[in-house]
Amino acid sequence: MKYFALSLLMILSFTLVGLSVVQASEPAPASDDQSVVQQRFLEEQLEKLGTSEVESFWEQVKQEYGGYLPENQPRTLSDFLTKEDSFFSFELIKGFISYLFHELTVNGKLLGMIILLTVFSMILEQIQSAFESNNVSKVAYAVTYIVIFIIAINSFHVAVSYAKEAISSMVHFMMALVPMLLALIGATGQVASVSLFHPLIIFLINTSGIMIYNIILPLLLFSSILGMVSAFSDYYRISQLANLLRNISIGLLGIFLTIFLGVVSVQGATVAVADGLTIRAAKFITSNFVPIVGRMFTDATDTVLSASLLIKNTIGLAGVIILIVLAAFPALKILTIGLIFNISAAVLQPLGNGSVITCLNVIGKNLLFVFAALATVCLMFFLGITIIIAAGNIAFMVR
Amino acid sequence: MAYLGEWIKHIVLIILVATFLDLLLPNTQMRRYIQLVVGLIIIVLILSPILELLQVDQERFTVGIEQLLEPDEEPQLQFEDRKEAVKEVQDRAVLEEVKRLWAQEIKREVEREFALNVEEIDIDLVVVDGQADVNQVKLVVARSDDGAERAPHGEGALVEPVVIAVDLEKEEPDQIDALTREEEKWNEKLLTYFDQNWNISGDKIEIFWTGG
Repeated sequence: MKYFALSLLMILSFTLVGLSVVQASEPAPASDDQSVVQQRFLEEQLEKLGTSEVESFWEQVKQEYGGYLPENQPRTLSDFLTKEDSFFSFELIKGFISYLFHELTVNGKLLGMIILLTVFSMILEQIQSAFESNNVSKVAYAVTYIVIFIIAINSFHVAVSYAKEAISSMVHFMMALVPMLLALIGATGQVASVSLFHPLIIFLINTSGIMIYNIILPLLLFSSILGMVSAFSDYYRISQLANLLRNISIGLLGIFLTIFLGVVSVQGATVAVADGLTIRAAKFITSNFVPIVGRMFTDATDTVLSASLLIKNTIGLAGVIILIVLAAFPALKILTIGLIFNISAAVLQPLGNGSVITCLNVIGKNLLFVFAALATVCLMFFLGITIIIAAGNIAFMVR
Repeated sequence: MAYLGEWIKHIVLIILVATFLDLLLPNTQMRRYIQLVVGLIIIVLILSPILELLQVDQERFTVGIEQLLEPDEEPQLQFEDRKEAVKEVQDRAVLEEVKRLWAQEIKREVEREFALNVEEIDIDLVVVDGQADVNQVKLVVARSDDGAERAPHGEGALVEPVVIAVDLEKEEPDQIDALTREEEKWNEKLLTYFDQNWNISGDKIEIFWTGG
C-alpha cells in the first residue's frame, strides 16, 4: 500500500511538473507573415516525419475508450498543434472517474460471487456439528476454498494480462514516438543528444518492458499463488516464501526505476548543455553575400528551427497524453479488481474465518502491486519523453 | 522464469496433497510424524533451487539472464532517413524564408532609392556545395511619379512623365523609343545599385517593366 500511494503521488507530481515544462517551453508565436510560413512548414514537416504509427495508437485509444474521453478531443496529431485549450482538463478526470464506476459495476458480479461463496462456506462450517466426523466438513470447506481460490487466481490472471497488454502497447508506442522526437532533435543539430539518447532510451525502454513482462509480473503471480496456498493449509505455511518473492519483484522495480530516472535525467541535462554550444547555426555558407543577407540567413534559420522545436514539443505533448491514456484505463481496471478483493476481505472478516480472508487479502494486495508496476512503467516512459523534450529545449536556451 | 514456475508448481502441488493427506489420516500418534516428514519434504523442495544455485555454473547463469532480457526481435529505430527528410524540409524552408525576407528588403530599398514601384520580385537561390548563391533575380517594376502622391502599385505606372516630351518630336515609335530609353537608364541605375548594394552582378538580374 505504501509503495502504491507513493507511486501515485509521484506520478501526479511529475505529471504537473513535466507538463508545465513541456508547455512553458513552447516558443512564443511569431509575427503574422512568419506564422503563415511556419504553419505551412509545420505541416510539411509533420508529413515528412511519418506520424501514422503514432496516430494509429491515438485511433486505437479513441476507439476503445472514446466514450470516456472529453468531447473536444483532437482528431489527429496536427490537431494537437492547432488546439488552443489543453487536453488535460476536468473533463478527462471526470472520464476516468466514470470509467472507474463502470468497471466497478461490471465487476460487481465478482464481488457478489466471492461474498456468497464465503458465506456458504461459513454456514457449512457452522453446521459441522451436525456431521459425525469433523473431517467431512473440513473436506467440504476445502472444496469451497478451492473454488474461491480459482476465481481469485483467474481474476488475478486477467488483471496481469491487462497490465501486460498495456505495457506492451506502451513500449510499442514509445518505439514509434521516440524516433520522431530524435529525428526532430537531430534535425535541429543536436548531434550529441541524439547519439546519447538513441541507444540509452532504446535500451532502457526495451529492458523495462521485458523485465516487467518476464520477471516482475510472474513473480507477483507466484507470490500470490503461494500466499493463497499457504492460507489453505493450517500446518504447512509458506507465506514467508510468498513475501520473499513479492519483495524481490518490488525491489527490482524500484531499482530499475531509480536507474532509469538517474541515468536519463543526469545525462540528458549535461549533454543538452554541451549540445547548446555546438547547435546548428546557419547551414549555408554565405560568404559572397553582403552582411545583411548573412543575417537574413541566420534569422531564417532561427525561424525554421523554432518551428521544428514547436513541432517537437507538440509531438511530445501529444505523446505524453496518449501514453497516459494508454496506461490509465487498464490501470483503472486493475485497480478496480484489486479494490473489489480488498472490499470483500473487509466485508467478510466479521464472519470470522481466517484463511478465506487471508486469501482475498493477498490477492488484493498483489493486484495493487501489479497496478504499481504498470504505473511505474508509465512514469518511466513519461519522464523519458519529458526529458528528451526538455533536453532539446535546454540546448536552445543555452544558445 | 519457466524453471521458477515449475518449482512453484511443485511446491503448490505437494502442499495440496499434504493437506488432503492430513484430512484423510486418522487422528493417531503416527499423524504427527507424517506431518514432520511432509514438512521436511517441502523444505527440501523449497531449498532445491537454492542448492542448485550454489552449484550452478555462473557463466551459464549470466548467459541465461542475458537471454531472458534479450528482446524477441532486435528493435530497429529507423530515424536517420526521417531526420534527413526533416532536414531537407528545413533547408528548403530556410531558403524560402530568406527569399521572402530579402525580397521585402529589396522592395523597400528600391522604392526608397528610386521613383519606382516594385510590383513583383522573385529571387532564385541555388545551393552548390553548401554555398548559397543567387541564380537569378526577376524584378517587375513600374515607374511611379515621385512628385505626385504615391499610388499603390499599378496605377502610379499609368502616369507617364515621358509623355510631355512626345510633342516635340514624332508621334508613335518615338514614344516607345523614349520609353525604352528611359527604361534603359533605369535599368542601368538598378544594375549598378544591385551590384553595389547587394553584390549581385548584372547578368543575373532580369528587369521587366509594366504599365508602359
